[in-house]
Amino acid sequence: MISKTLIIKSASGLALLSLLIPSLASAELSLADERTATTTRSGQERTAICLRLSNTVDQIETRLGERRDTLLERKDEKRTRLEERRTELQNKLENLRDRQDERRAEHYDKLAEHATTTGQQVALAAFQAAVNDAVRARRSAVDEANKKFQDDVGALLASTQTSINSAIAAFKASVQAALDQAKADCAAGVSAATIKSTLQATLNAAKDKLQADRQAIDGLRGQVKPLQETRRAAIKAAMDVFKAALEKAKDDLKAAWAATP
Amino acid sequence: MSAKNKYLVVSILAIVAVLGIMITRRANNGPGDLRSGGETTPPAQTIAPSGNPDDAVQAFVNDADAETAQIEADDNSDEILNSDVTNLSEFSHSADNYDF
Repeated sequence: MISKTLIIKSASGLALLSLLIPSLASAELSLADERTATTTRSGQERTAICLRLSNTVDQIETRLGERRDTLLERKDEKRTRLEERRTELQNKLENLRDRQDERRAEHYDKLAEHATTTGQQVALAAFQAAVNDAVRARRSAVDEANKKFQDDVGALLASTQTSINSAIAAFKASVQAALDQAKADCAAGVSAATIKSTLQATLNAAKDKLQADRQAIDGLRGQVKPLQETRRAAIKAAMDVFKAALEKAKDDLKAAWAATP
Repeated sequence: MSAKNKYLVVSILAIVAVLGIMITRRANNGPGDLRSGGETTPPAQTIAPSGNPDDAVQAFVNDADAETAQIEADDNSDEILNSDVTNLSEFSHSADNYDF
């Protein structure tokens, strides 16, 4: 009786197991399939990124080259315009001085109409000589201040250009290193997500560095103002000497005219 | 207005806006922004010859002041340096919008 019950229970258990085993086996197979699929997807994504990387490298390198060329072209155009502008301004200054020389001669002529005696004419000649000397001295000082200013601005421009070239070279090198690293990661089978995040982070760092360099270069612009102030002070000093010389010449002339009938 | 017409209007407005920005940037950053000579010269205060030494000397001083003003007004060193920096800023966008 007991053995009959045992036989029945064992048979039931075996029947139940026979139902469960295929299900468990099937579940184990599904997990394995999913792992395989995930691995395959990741591999496909990496392959796709690595294939696109080649195009991206070409695009970035082309863009870098084009923009660098544009920048250099504009720089050359600016320098040419700057030289032309300086020549133009020098001509303009000389024309202004020529007109002022003519007007000064007209003033001398009008003064001469009032210098009727020899003593007055001698005093007027001394006045003219003193004024002409003062004009020459002032112009010479102004020209010197202008030349120094232009030389200093030229040196500042050259310094700026050197800094710009360094910034461009550093940026290009960083971008190139980032792209090379991405290529190496592709070859080494690094995951797609890592390749992408590393490349983006490195490119962003290169850009941040360039922005910092740009700000430092922008700071050089502040050095123009002291140069302008230096020139302004030199021209003002020349002007003060000029005015004092003219006042003295005028006082001498008026005194001489008053003393010599 | 049909959806197609709305799309056309929006597209045209977008193109006009982009062209406007490009033209403005070119005008600000391009080599053509250096001032040309002649327009910045302040008018000189001239005194007609009178035969009076005071008038003559004042006229000479005014001429010297006019020359100084012209030199100051014609200085555009800031612009030149500024444009270099602006151009560098454009360059920094060379590696933007890459596609992976």
